[in-house]
Amino acid sequence: MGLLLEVRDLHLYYRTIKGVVQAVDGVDLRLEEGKVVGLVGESGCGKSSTANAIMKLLPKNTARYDGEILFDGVNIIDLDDEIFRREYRWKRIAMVFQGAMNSLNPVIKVGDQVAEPLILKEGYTRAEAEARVKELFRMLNLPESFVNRYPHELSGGMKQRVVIAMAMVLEPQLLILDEPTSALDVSVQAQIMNLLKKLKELKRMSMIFITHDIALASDLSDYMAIMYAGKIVEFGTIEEVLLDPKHPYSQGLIAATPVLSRDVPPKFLPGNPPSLINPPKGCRFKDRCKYRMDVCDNEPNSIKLSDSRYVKCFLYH
Amino acid sequence: MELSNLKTYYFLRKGLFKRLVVRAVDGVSLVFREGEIVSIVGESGCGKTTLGKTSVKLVEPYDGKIVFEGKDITRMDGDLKWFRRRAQIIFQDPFQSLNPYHSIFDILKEPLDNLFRGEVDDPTEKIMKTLEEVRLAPPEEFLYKYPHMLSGGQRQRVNIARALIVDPKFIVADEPVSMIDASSRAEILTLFREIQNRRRTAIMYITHDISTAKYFSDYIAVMYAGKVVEYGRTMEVIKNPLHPYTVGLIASVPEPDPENRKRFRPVIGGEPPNPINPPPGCRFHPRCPKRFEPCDKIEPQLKEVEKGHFVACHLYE
Repeated sequence: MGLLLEVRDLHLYYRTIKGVVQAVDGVDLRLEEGKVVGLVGESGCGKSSTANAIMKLLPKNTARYDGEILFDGVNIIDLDDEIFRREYRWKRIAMVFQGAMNSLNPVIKVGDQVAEPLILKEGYTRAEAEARVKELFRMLNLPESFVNRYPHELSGGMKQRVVIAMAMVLEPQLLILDEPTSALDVSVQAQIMNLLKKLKELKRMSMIFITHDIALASDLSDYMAIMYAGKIVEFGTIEEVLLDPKHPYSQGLIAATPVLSRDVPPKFLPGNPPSLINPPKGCRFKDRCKYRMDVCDNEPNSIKLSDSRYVKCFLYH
Repeated sequence: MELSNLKTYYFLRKGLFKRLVVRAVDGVSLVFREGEIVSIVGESGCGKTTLGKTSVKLVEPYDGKIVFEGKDITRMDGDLKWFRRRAQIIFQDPFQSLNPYHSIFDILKEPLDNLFRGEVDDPTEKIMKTLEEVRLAPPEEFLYKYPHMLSGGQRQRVNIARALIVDPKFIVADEPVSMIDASSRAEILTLFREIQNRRRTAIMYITHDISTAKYFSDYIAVMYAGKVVEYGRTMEVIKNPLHPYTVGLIASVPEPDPENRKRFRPVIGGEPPNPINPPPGCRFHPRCPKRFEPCDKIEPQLKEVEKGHFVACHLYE
């Protein structure tokens, strides 16, 4: 199984009136072909910024963007924007944005919206494109006839399938999903998760699954990356992270998740994440951490605990 | 508080002559006793929010009866002060339900001014005590802050304080944690438990998340398309769900388990019906895996199947 994506020491900072926001601050990630990594963290921890950095969708107020993003061996950070746009974005790396189902164009048939890149980028004829979109709809459990519908004629779950179809139409090797089910009902959410599982097996597609819900992440992910205040504090296989979390933040997050089948009530993690404008020196979790030591005022290194696993915490130094 | 056969319909106009009726709440009977938390669980559009709003008289019921402390308040209008002092509501979105131009002090003083003008000796002291009760401590630090200076969890505590400050007997909490980060959800819900124990307040906890209902309520009422389909003690409903919808809902809830990704989740197909045109007979029958002869013709009634456990389903008749 080949390595598809390797992110090393990725930084993405934004300039704002109040100061520089260190949204992504030294992120490392690895992903093999056909595998899914769950990127889990609370709102504002930099999950979506990490995704935007991999898609090279940078806002005008970007203050720092560096590190390495090796996609199939090529560092896409150094790549010319025009080449990236033509050869990579949507074609090899695609993304389902958060709330994308609400940004479908209301006056264009959904089939045409999905077909657009086929016609514009790949030179398909309309008929060829329509046949391809119908095939895709079938795979996503959408009736073929829905290509002629407008977004308002679809329910939430169906719109979400259309948006997934849009991201998949050029058969990318890597699909980034940013909270793809957060606006859906639980029963519909479960349908979409089953669908993503099917795609993962059928297409051997790699995915980065971004969510704040650790239980949902475990539905699809082979690896789990726990993100806190711009940094990945723990990374490992899903078994390692879920069953034996090492970082105190991962432990807290897992303990805070209510579980229906067990009778342990959820515990909360006191405090709030720090501002990313002037984050505290050293470990960013120290103010909420019950194991806090003097040494935590220094920056913790990545400690390798197994071949697949690292954690950033002085407890393991 | 007792709701009997409560119906709330919204009337929409379509074109010149057509009138559409949205049966948001369609015959709900429930009892709320002192010191008990009742969860209303259901998916979006099932009428749970409308039920909450109707029970505190923010929306007029179309039919049925609301009795509060022995008084029929269904058609009480004009002077609602008596009722408003006793029944309060906490809204879902802590970012939109606080006036950004008012300080926390102003926000908490307003209900005292409106409902208890001149009756509270020392409003500032009352405000400070309430802030302490919701753990915004030390209260002096929060009094003159504005909503934008607080985190989502802190804002939701201000909302709770605003409801508590009039010492209500009944509180409707409409999805109070759905927009709050996972690590602080349990903290807010624990706060509700404390309020219930200390003040003996009756609480209606409206949620789409049956796993939080499990830990923070005494009874669960499952709603589907405007009706209660199952009702009973929380643990009884969760351990021994009877209605096929409740069974499906519980099966759809993701749990943190590394084995999840290796299997498909049993799901309820389809999506909730349109409340303008609910299916005939049992409203769940088009999605029900166990439907049989009478389901599409006869509407099942809520019946006590086991002691204290009610279900509206033909399987149990």
